[in-house]
Amino acid sequence: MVGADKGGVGKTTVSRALLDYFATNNILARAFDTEYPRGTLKRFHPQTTEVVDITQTPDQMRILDTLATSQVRVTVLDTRAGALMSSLEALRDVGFFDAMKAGEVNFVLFHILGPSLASLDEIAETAPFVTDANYFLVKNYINDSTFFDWDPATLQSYFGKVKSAGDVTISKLNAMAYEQVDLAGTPWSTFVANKTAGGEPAQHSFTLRGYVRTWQSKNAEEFNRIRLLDFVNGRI
Amino acid sequence: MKNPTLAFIICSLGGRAGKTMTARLLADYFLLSDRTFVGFDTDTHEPSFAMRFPQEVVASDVNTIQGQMALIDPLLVADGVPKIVDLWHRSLEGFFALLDQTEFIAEARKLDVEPIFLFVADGTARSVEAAARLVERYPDVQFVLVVNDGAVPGVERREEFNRYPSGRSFKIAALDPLLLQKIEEPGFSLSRFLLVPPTNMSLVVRAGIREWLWRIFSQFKSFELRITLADSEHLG
Repeated sequence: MVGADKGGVGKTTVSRALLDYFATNNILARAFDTEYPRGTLKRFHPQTTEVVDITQTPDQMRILDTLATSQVRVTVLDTRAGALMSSLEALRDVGFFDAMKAGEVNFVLFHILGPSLASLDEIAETAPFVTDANYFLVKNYINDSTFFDWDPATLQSYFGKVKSAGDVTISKLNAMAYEQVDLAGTPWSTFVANKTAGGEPAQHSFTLRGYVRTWQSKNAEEFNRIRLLDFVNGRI
Repeated sequence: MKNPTLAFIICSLGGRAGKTMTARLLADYFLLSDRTFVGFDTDTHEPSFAMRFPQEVVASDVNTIQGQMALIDPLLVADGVPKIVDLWHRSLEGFFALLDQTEFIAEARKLDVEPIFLFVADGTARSVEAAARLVERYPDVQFVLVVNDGAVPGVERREEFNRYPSGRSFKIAALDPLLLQKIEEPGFSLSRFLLVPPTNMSLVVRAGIREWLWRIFSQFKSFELRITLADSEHLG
C-alpha cells in the first residue's frame, strides 16, 4: 500500500516506481488506484491497474478476495489523498490484518511524507495499524521538496513508535524529464526504452531518458536496500 | 561494415590551451574535403567557435537541461556527419558527469557513433594527470592528446606527453605571429584559403599558412584512415 494523508506528495509517482521495479525483476504485479473515479495511476499502467473505491464492499472484495487466488504475486494499492487512514480502517474492518497475522498475506506500507510537521502526526496516527507490518516512511524528493531538515531526535521518537520502520528515499528527478514522462503517459521503463504506450518507437530525448534511467537505478538501489524482493518471496 | 559517425570532444583542464583552435582546424579539415560537420560550443560567455562557424555550430549551455538536450541528443545521431564539441573548461566536470549519468558512451556504441576525446594539454602537471585520469576513466574511448605549441609554448617538449604514440596525438606547431594574426581575422576561413588562395596576399604569408595547415591536416587524415581501416572487415 502506498499512501499519505496529504495530497501532492507523490504517491502515484512512488506506485509507478514500484510497478516498474517489480516488472524489471520479472514479478507480476497488479495495481488498484483508489483515486476513484479519476485514477492517475491507470493512465500510466492501464493494463495492470483498476480504479476502485476502497470504501465500497464490492471493490473491497475485488481487491482482497483475490489476493490469495490471483496468479499475480504483488498487489500495489495506491490510496488517494486523504484516504490512508480510512483505507487502513477499512482493511482492519474486513479482517485484513488478521489474515496478515495468520501469514496469509504479507503487507508493506509505504507512507509518503509531506513537507510539514503534520506528517509526523500522521505517522503517530498510522502506527497502531502497522505495528506488526512492514512500515516504510518514504522521503520523496522528486518534486523538489527540501523538507527533511527535521530534528533527528523528534523523528526518532516517532520512528520508535512503529516496529520495523525503515525509510526509503526517492531522489529528485529532473523536472523536464518528469514532465515528459507525464506527457508520454507511459511507465518509466517504457520511456527509457524509447517506446510509446502502444509499443511503437518513440522520439524521446536521450538526455531525458538518461536522467530517468539513472533515477530508476537509484530507486532500485533503495528497494534492494530494504530487501523488497524478500517481502515478495516470503523470506521476510 | 558502415563507418561510424565520429564525435570529437575537445577538452582541456584550463583555458587558453588551444581548444577552439583545434576545433576550428578540425572543422575546416572537413569543409576542405567537401564534407560538413555539426559543431557545439559550450562556452556561453565567449562562444568563439560558434561565432566562427555560425551555420554549423550551436552554443549550448550544459548547465541547463535545454542545453544538455541540444548537445547530447544530436551527438548521438549516426548520420555520418562528424560532430565537433568545443568543450569550455568550466563545463568540463558537468559534461563528463552528464556522459556518465546518461550512459552516453554505451548508447553511442550501440548507435554506431564513435566518441573521440581530444585532450588539449596545457603543459602543467595537473594537465598531465587529468589526461591520464581521462584515459583510465574511459578505457574504451579513443583518446588523442593535442599538443598545441602555439597556444602553450614549449608544451611539445614535455617528456610526459612523448609517451603518447603518434597515432594518439596531434601536434599543432606554433605559427609565426604575423601569420597567426592573419588567420585570426574575423571571417578568415582556413578551408576557403586552401581552396581559393587569395591572390592579394603575400606569397610568403600564403606559403607559411599552407605549410602549417598541411602538417596538421595530414595528421587528421592519418587518424581518419586508421579509424576507417580499424572498422573495415578483413582486407585480405
